[in-house]
Amino acid sequence: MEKKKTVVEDSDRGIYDIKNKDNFSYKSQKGLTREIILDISKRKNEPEWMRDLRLKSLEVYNKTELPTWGPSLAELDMDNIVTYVKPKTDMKGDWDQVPDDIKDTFEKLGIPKAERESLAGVGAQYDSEVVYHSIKEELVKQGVVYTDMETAINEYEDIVKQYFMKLVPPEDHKFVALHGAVWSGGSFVYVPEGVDVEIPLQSYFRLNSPGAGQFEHTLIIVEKGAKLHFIEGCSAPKYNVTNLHAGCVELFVKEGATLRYSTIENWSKNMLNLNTKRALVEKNGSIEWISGSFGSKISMLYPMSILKGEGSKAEFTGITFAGKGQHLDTGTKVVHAAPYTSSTVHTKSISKSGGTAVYRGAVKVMPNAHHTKSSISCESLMLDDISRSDTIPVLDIQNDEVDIGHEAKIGRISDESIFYLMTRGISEEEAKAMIVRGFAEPIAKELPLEYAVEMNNLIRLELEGSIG
Amino acid sequence: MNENALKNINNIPVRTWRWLGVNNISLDSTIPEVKPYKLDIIKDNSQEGLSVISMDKKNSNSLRLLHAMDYDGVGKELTDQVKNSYNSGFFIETAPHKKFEVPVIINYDFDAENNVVVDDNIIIAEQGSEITVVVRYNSKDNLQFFHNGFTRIYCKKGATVNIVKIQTLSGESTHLDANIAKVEEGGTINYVLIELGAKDSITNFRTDLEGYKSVANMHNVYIGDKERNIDINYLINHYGKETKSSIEARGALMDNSKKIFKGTLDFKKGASKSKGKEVEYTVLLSPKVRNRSVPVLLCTEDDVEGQHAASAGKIDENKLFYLMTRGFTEKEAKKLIIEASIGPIIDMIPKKTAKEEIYEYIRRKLINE
Repeated sequence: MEKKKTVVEDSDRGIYDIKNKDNFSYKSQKGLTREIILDISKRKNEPEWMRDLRLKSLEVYNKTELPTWGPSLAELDMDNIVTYVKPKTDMKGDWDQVPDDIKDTFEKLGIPKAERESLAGVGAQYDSEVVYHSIKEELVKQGVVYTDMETAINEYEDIVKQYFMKLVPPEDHKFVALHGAVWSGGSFVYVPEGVDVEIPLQSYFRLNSPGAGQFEHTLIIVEKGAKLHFIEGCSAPKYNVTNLHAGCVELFVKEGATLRYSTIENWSKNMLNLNTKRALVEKNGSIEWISGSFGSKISMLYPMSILKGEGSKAEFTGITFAGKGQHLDTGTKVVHAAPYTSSTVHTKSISKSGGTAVYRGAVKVMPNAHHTKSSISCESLMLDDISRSDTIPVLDIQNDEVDIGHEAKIGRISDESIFYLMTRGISEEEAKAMIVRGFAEPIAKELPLEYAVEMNNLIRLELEGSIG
Repeated sequence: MNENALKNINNIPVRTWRWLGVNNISLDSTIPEVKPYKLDIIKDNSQEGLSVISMDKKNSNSLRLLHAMDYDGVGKELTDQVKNSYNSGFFIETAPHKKFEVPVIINYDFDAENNVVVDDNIIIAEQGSEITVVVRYNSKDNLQFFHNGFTRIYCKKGATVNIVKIQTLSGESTHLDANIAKVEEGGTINYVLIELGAKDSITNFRTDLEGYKSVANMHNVYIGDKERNIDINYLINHYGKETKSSIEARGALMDNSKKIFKGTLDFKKGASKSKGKEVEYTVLLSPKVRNRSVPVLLCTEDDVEGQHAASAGKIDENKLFYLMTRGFTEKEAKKLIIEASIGPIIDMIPKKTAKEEIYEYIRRKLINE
């Protein structure tokens, strides 16, 4: 019997595709040279150690090979990427002072509204620089710092110097080296000992300039017994030239601290998203990653948790949705480097219209990490027969006092489920849409309400056409 | 041979991060010179309708069929060595529509005189036939042996091929074994692969399920002790519609042993209604082992069901405690639990061939722990 396949059209991405005129006060030359880097550093008025870190990173970049695995990055031509675009405004602490075009974009993306309603602080980055940053007064009183990286280097130089690119050194891989050389913008968060930041902080990254790269650096330190939920959002309009995002996120979770890091990434489909995120978790600390990957042409994103302290924990919940022309290679890495550590990985991926979704993961248990527990589950859903879905997990266990389980499933929406829903009076299209939403539900429920709604909207946008 | 022939071998079908060291493996050992192997492996395997001959007496016409079944195996230079300078090998061909109840038994014995085996093996199961072949690589002396083998299996329409491979070489030996199978419509290939010996045991099995409703089942038992280094690389390609595969691996690691299990199920476009399942259970018996698993699923067809599961850990303490309250020592109790786990696979070895001997061999290993 020939099966009928539901055609799922690609759809308009609505607000995400709004393009602003490429207004900038300064734009670096295309490409990557020592001169460009010295120039960026000079314009930022940076201390010497930072300039030296940039130059060292450039050296590493030049001698490091491209990865020998994963999607092809042949289309990336660094000579055509603008690494630094300074928007035509300084950083503002008052939303009304942000230039209208930029303000308008963020308003449409719902950023200031979310701030009023459910956030303790907001940062907004436009191209290479942060244009807006604010934090609730009572948190400042408790000693919480939430500011852009540039300000942090000036005002908290000692702390920044101690942590900056120490967890993710430039030698790690080619795009971290690139990041080290040209990084700009990003957020710095410091939560002092014992402070519980009850409502989330959020940074939103918007890349407007065509053919540019965004290289924001996020550094978060959650001191002993403190708690934080940080949300990161990213988007960009679609241009015909390749844009590049090579951000870096370094998270330090101290003894007994808890950090939840949520991301809804919706880059446009001309973006190469080669991002690096890593958390170092100390004794009884806990890192929770929530990661939604929807946009970009190519993504290589594997947030890594290093469980360094006894009894520390990592949890990773991720969803990846690859549509037409997208190759999303995502997953997570966990290193158990101390006894009594535990990790849970739970991922879902959906591919359709010729998109490729890959789960790539690694759980490594070091010889000293006895009494490690880890459980990994990956599920993939294929919505048609022109797409691709791969699962490439690695378990590396180096002692015997462990309890490790891994499972993965790949498949399509079963005819039985659709038939069942149809017998209840639901149309075939709606039945499929319901099943996809149900598939994504375990992730959606981990997100704050506004973001769960945004994610459902993204899924709806992706499924629009004859489904939904 | 190139001195790098043992570097970066047994490559995984899709690469991943280098720091995990699973993409390929490099051995320190060297490849010895190939000299004649003088033992008779064919012996009395004659049955009506079945041809079992030594590779150097093969009929070159039948070989033409197999040219399409070329692949790199553990490493290109290693398969080339087999093709160009093999010193032993068998060629088995069945008559169509015949079931051969008595298994063919091929013993590659290693001794001081015959310490290098480079074997080229071919099995052709004609339409509708059914055959079981037991191949053993065994050494009694504790010397250093070298084995590099290449086996090609052609399972024609509706045929069933049962392959049992048992490797019990000395702890100083190198075992390199490449296998490719092609399965036509309605054909079934069943593997029982028992990896118990050698210093480096590097195996590669690729199965192409080309025909409609073709089936592959792989059952694997491994035991790592002392300094053993086990590298297992299985790939099942689902090309035909309604093809089915399963991989089941069960093992125990002791002492300083290391193991990498790479199992890949690849659902190619057009392989609709196919199903594949892969499971691996590893019991860890020493704090110094290294156990790596890479269960890969690749999929370009939506109408399939693929799943894999892997688990690793110590022996269940409740079970152990229970057996010890019944008067077993800890060692005996552990041995019983491991035997119970791998027993169902060992039991697939045909009766009167090697089953009892293999049970004995495993018991000895576990008791020495």
